[in-house]
Amino acid sequence: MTACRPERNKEKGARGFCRQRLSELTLAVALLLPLPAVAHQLVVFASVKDDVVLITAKFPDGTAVKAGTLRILDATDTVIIEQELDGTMPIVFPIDEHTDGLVIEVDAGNGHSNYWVLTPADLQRIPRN
Amino acid sequence: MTRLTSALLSSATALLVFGTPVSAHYGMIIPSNNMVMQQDDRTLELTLGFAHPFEEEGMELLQPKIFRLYGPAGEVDLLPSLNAAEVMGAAGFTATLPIEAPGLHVLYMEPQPYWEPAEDAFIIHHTKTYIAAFGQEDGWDQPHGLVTEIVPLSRPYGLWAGNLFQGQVLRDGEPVPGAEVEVEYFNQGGAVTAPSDYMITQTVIADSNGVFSYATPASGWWGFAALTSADYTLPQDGVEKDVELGAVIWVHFEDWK
Repeated sequence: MTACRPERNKEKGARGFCRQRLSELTLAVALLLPLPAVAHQLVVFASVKDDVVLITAKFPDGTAVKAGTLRILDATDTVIIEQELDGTMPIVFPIDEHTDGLVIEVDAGNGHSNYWVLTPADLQRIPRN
Repeated sequence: MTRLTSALLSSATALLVFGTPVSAHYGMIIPSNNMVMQQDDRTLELTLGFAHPFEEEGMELLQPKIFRLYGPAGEVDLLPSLNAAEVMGAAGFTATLPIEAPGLHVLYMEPQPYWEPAEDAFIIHHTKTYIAAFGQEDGWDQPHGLVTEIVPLSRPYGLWAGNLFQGQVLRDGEPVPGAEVEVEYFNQGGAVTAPSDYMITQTVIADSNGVFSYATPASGWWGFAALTSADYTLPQDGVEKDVELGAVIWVHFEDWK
């Protein structure tokens, strides 16, 4: 399997890599196989609460990322949102119809990048009344 | 009496008086993983016991007084998560811990006092271990305000075998000058054979600031126990007995490969 990083996305396009990444993660979780190490200098995390995704991007010491780019891609590898970060955390993203999986990427430059994958199982835990 | 006979008799007398070298007691909290990343199983299996870890000899661990998580969401009482289980042939506990957010997860157990007839004293081991999740790692060098504890001066995860581990022994929040720290390997499956009883438990003495250092020779779980005497006694069969307090920390070291 291949570690997916923003710089590789530039070469081959984000869509193909994110689809591969989501499927890799799902497959790896299913088979309990280890994935290769990924860029580690940012802590990108997304959790599901009610009908939204809560996103944080921090450095390992807990400091919020104050400048960088957030991209959210859906299960078809389409960039849904691309926005600049200003240090406000968490970033709230409504799930709406995007229940088939999401990839949340943050690139703060100078090699500080990482991503978090929300699988369909993650997203479908949402209680819906 | 020859000098040899005299020496042998002296040795025998010493054994009768002091007993053979014994391995140390350790409160134990061993998680199935101490560095959880996105692709890992996010439900950890925890094992709690009281044992001689090198020899894998368990002793009875009663329901702890405290089993607590210091986690990203604050303090969580984990006592309701405990399930009775046999640990190294004695009563212990297992539990599961879901990892749901980045950050440090510090597990802490205060057991009930353990009566040790061989030492004519009670033992209370305040036991900690550290789990880091999803890349975030702030706060590992902070104390938790425990009766006694080892505060890591080396990050207590992500350590290679052979790394120097340093910690500071605190009692009531203050450094313990010259604290005696016992070090023992959790010899799972009896993989290691000690060439001498002296090799089962190693001992280091902290400096005037309560700081100690130890370089592990191999990967795996290593327990560090700093022992002090309580300033109170507890009754046993109507007689007041001393209480040994242990500040225990379990640290995992990784293979260099």
